[in-house]
Amino acid sequence: MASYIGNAIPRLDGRAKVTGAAKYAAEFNVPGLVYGSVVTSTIAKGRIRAIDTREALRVEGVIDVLTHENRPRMAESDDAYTDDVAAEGRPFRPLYDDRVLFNLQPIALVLAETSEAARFLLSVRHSISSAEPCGPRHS
Amino acid sequence: MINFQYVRASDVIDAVQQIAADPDAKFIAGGTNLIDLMKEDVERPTRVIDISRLELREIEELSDGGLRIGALVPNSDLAYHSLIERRYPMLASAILAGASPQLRNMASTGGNLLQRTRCHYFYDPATPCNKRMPGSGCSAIDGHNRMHAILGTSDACIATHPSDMCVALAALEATVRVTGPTGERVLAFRDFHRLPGDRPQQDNALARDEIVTAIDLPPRGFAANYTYLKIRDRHSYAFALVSVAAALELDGETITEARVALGGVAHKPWRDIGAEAALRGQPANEASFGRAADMLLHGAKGYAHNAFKIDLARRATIRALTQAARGTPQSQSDKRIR
Amino acid sequence: MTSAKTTRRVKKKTIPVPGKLTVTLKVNGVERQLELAPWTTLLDALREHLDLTGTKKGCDHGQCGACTVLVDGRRINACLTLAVMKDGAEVVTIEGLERNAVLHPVQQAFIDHDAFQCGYCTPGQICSAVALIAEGKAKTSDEIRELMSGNLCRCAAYPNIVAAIQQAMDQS
Repeated sequence: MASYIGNAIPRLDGRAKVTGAAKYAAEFNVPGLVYGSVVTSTIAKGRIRAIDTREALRVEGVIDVLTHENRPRMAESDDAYTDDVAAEGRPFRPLYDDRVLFNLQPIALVLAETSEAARFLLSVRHSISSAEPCGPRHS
Repeated sequence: MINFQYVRASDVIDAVQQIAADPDAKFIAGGTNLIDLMKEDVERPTRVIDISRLELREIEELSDGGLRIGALVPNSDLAYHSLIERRYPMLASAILAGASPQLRNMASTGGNLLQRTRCHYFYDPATPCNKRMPGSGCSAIDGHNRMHAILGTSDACIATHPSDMCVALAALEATVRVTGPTGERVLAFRDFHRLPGDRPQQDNALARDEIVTAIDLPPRGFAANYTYLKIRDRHSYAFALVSVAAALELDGETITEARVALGGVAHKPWRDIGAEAALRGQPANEASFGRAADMLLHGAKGYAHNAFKIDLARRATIRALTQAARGTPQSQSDKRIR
Repeated sequence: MTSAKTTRRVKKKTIPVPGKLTVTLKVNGVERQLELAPWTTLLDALREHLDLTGTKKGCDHGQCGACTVLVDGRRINACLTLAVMKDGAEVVTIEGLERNAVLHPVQQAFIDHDAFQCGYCTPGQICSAVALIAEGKAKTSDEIRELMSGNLCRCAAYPNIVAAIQQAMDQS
């Protein structure tokens, strides 16, 4: 212990970080890893009228497409998303319901066996949803 | 990004034939703008034609004393080339004022001309934009328009051309060589980029089945009295609020030739031939420069967030001409503006 | 993650993911052959297909420099490069700078000068600095700062990064 105090020691994580060996959150490759791609809204405000995932589900390597229609159960009370330092206001719950609240809001999550398949789905996203905008339009 | 087919062009003729045959195809060279736009879903080509291996990477001397720059010469190679450093240092300075070293290593000369505006509404497919979707409206005119144009605007579009290199090329009066299905043609630099008018979707005079093959520089490089002065929110790695390429030829204290081009203020590098002509025969002093600046900025129109650019451009023009007259060009690494 | 086979998986003919292209890259001295979709960037090819996660994805739009690698000796942003466009090229990543377990002088200088905190920008900074020194254009600290401006650091280790590069430059 005494040898550390008062002496200039290089950071213990130094070697790992300068060699690229240090691993960050998205860098753990494990067997059975599934890839996700987020499909985002193309309008800033409105409601999702329909989501048709039949075409997307036929793509080789696609496992599922999560939308507000088939997502896992989510807590409904704000308390479930709040801690002591939470900001004021209501939390955003992705895929919660059919409302579009902001531009580029996530409206579907593609799950696929490969990153290629997940990425490819983004080019068929026009078949995934159609949304009815509401509120004032730009002239 | 949509699914696309990737192909390579074997030579210029093949490139022209391929693009002429497919209205949804685009050339890719450095990719620094196109790939960015494809990731944002602004550009959606179904076929990408790789021209990066075409033999357009040479810089050759021309018999009239000028220089021919191949369209695929990387920006960094161009900036550091000994002939450019020696004879056209204003061009080198302007290139080094833009982007980052990594991007300059990737970006091609032709691509720098063809890069598209960075207007954030153009980049956002959820917003009306007459450039991206003709007829949908312009979100910038009544929106956040700090980075937008004050000159040459129209009711349809107030976007700017983001290049630094092009401002210097405009001041140098470069010419652009292009090849299409019917052969070669040469455009004066001032005619290459357009003003938005009522067709903002068309950035420049290049037909969709033409390819830029080279940029020619005339013999005059203004190597003794020049500057490229770029004013931006950060010291580096940001687009210009206002930039000035200024170049002079002097006989003692008298101006015999002048070139002034502005960046960051219009849909193309902004020059006024009358302002340059008015400087000829004048003493190289602040009064002369002020008159030229007034002519250059004649008709400037500010919007809600960018009216400051008018006075900034005026003062930057005077400062740039002063730097050029003194032979003390702005350093792109020592950021103090003297 | 538990198996996610959905009961809605249809048995109709599946739509294949569009054709892959064969891309050959010499990465850190080793020739690698990959089958890639055309839209795979060099960055994704390195991280996802070659498991070389040292090169980082920061912005994916060429604005942060975390993805800086050396291609045929030049520093570039791997996120704005399609892997297929670099077919046949030599790529050096952060993992390739060490020689026989000895750190590259720039790597060592970064440790000596504590030129990082979280470390996420560090591989990009180091690759960029290696190229900067080879380019030979930067002499003063102003010039180092300007020619490193394509590499952002949110931890603001900049003064130490410049000092590290100065040290490595003086040694080379």
